[in-house]
Amino acid sequence: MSTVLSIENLSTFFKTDKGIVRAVEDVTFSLEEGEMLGLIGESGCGKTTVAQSILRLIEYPGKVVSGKVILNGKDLLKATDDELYSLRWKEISVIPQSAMNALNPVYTVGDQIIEAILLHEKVSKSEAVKRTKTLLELVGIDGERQKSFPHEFSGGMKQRVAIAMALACNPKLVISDESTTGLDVLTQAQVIALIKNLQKKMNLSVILISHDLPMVTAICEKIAIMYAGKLVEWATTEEILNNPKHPYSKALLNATPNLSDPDREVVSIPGSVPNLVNIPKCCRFHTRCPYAFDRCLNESPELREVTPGHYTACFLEGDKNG
Amino acid sequence: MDNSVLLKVNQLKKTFIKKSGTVFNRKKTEVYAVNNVNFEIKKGEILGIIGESGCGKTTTARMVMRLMEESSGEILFEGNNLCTIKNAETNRLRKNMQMIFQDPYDTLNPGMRIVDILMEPLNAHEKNLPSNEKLKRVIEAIESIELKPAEDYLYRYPHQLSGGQRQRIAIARAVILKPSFIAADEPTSMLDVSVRAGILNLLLDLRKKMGLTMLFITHDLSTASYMCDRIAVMYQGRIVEIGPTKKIIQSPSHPYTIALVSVVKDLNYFIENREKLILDGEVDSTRKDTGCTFVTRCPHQEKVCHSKAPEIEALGNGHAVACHCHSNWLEKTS
Ligand SMILES: Nc1ncnc2c1ncn2[C@@H]1O[C@H](COP(=O)(O)OP(=O)(O)OP(=O)(O)O)[C@@H](O)[C@H]1O
Ligand SMILES: Nc1ncnc2c1ncn2[C@@H]1O[C@H](COP(=O)(O)OP(=O)(O)OP(=O)(O)O)[C@@H](O)[C@H]1O
Ligand code: SF4
Ligand SMILES: [Mg+2]
Ligand SMILES: [Mg+2]
Repeated sequence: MSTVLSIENLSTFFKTDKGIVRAVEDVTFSLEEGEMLGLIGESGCGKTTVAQSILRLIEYPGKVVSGKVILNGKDLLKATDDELYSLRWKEISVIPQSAMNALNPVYTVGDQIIEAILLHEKVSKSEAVKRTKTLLELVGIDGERQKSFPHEFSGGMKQRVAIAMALACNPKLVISDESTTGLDVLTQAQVIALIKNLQKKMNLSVILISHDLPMVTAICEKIAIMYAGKLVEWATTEEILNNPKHPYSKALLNATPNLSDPDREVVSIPGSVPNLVNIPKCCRFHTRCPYAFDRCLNESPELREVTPGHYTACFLEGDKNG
Repeated sequence: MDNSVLLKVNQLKKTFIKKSGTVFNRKKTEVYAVNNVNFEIKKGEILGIIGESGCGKTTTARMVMRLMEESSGEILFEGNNLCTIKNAETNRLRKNMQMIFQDPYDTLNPGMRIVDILMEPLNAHEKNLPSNEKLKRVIEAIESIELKPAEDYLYRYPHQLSGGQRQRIAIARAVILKPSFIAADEPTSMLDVSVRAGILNLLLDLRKKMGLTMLFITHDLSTASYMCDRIAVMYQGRIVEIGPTKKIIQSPSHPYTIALVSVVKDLNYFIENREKLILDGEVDSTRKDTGCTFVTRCPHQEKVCHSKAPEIEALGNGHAVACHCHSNWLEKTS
C-alpha cells in the first residue's frame, strides 16, 4: 500500500476582533490508498477547517499558517492555482454536506454532471452523457433519470446524485464532510453503504468527517480524533475501540450510548471546550482531564507513535521506544 | 381506567392542510401528521417515541401538552380528558405536565436572568408562596440539576452558560413545579456527545427521586434504549411498533424497526443486506390514506399492503406491531 495523502503539522488560524482563533494547530495524519479514515470530534474542533485547508479553500480572515498537504508527492499548499484546478475533481473531490447547495434547482441532474465532466476533461459531449448514465447507475439511480430535476428526488437520492457528481472525473481521494448529516437514520445508512461499497469497488481513499462515533467505528479502517483544534489520537479502529490511549478518546467512548450494551452507564465529560482565541501553550484537554498534571498546563503534548501505527498526544503516553 | 396509568392517548389525530400551487390553481393536500395514535404511559415509566424527521413525534407531544389542538381523539391524564376539560381545571393539570424542548438556545428568554426564568413558573402557579420561599425553591431546582453552588448561576443570563448548562436550566424550569409528567422532545440532540450523557443521567436521576413519568422523544435508537422502559416506533404519523425496549431491540417485528435496529446494531450487516432491508424511497407528495404508509420502502410488501392500512396487532408481553405480513416473513427469515 502507498500513502495517498499526508498532512504534516498543519495549522490554520482565523483572525478575529478578539484575537487569533487557533482553529487547527499542528495536525498530522495520513491516508493510505484504498483506505477509509474517519475524522471525528465534537462541533467546532476543526474538522471542516482541516478539509478546507487540504483543498486550499480557506478564505480570509482564515489562513493556513504552516504545514504541508502532500497529495501523491506534491505539496498542495505550494501548488499554483492552475495545478490545483487540474487536481480538484480528477485527483481529489468533496462530497458536500448539503446536496441542496450542491445541486442547481433549475438544471436537470444529468446536465449538471455532464457540465462538470466537460469542464474538467477533454471528452466529447456524447462521452460525457454516457459516463453520466453510468455514474447515476453506480449510485443506484436509473440512468434515464438524468433528465429529472433535483426537486423530483428524495433527500437521500439528491445526496446520491451529489456523490455521483463528486465521482464524475474519477478522483482517487474523496472527502465527505458530514455528507449525511440531516438525513434520517435509514437514508443516512443507505448513503454510507453506497460510499463504503464504492470505496471497495473503485479502491477509493476516503476521509469521512463525522461526529458519529458508532457509525465511524463500524465502517472506517482508521480513525483520527480531534479535540479543540488538535489531533489527539490516530490509530486503527480496532486499536481505538480496544485500546484507546488519549483520555479524551476514552471519555468519548464512555459518553456514547451503545445499543449492544444499553445497561452500561454513559458518563459525560465535565467542563466545556476551551476558547480557541489566543489559547496558550498547553494540552487543550487539561481543563477536563482527570489525569492532568503541571506539565499539561504549560506545554503542548506532541503527537507521538506510542505503539506501531498508534499515535497519540498525551504526556502520560511514552514513546514506542520507551 | 387502570389507575397505574398516568397518560392514555386514544385514536389521536392531527391533520394539517398544506397549500401549494399558484394563486389561480390552489392545491390543498392533507398531511396526516399524527394518524390514529394510541399509547399509554404508566406512573413512573419512560415511554420513548422514535422515528425519522417529520414522522409526527413533536406534533404528538404538543397535543398531549395542549400546545396544539387535536383534529380528533382523546388524551386522558389522571383519567381526565384533556381535550374536553374546562380552563380552570386545565391550569391545575398543566402544572403537573411540563415540556422540555429540543433547542437549549431558543427556549430560554435571552433577556432574562436564570433566577427570573425559574421564578416565572412559580409566580404563575404558586402565587401565594412568600418570595423567600420561592427563592429557596429556585436554588433547590438549580442544585437538583447539578449546577453548584446555585448562587453562581442565579444572576447569569443564558448566553453566559454552555449549551449543556442551558439545557439543564430548561430542565430545572420544567421540574420546579414538581410535575408528575414530563414530555422531553429531543432534549439532547442539539448538544455535543460529551455533555449529552450528563443530561440523560440527570433525567433518569430525577425520575428516581421525584417518581417522574416521561414521554421521551428522540430519533436515536441508542439513546432511546438507554433511557426508556418501552419504545414506540413511529413512521409517517402512525405507531408501527410498540413494546418493551428489550423486545424492540432484540426482536424487532416491523420491517422499518428491523432496518433501523440493524443500522445501529450492525452497520456492516446493513451495508451487505441493504436491498433485503429497505427499498430506496422517493418523495411522495401525494400521500394517500390507503394502504400501509411504509409500502414505498418495504421489501416484504404484498398486494394487501397497497390497499389496506394494517391495524396494530398484539404479539404478547406488551409488544405490538402494525404490519400485514410480519408473521409471513418472520417465518421466512428465522
Ligand atoms: N471564519 C471564521 N472566523 C473565526 N473563527 C472561525 C471561522 N471559521 C471557523 N472558525 C472557528 O474554527 C473552529 C473550527 O471550526 P470548524 O468549522 O472547522 O469545526 P468542525 O469540527 O467542522 O465543527 P462542526 O462539527 O460543527 O462542523 C471553531 O472554533 C470555529 O468557531
Ligand atoms: N404547523 C404545521 N403546519 C403544517 N404542517 C405541519 C405543522 N407542524 C408539523 N407539520 C407537519 O407534520 C408532520 C409531522 O411533524 P413533526 O414536527 O411532528 O415531526 P417530528 O417527528 O417531530 O420531526 P423532527 O424529528 O424533524 O422534529 C411533518 O410532515 C410536518 O411537516
Ligand atoms: S404492512 Fe406490508 S408494506 Fe407495511 S410494513 Fe408490513 S409488509 Fe411492509
Ligand atoms: Mg464542520
Ligand atoms: Mg420534532
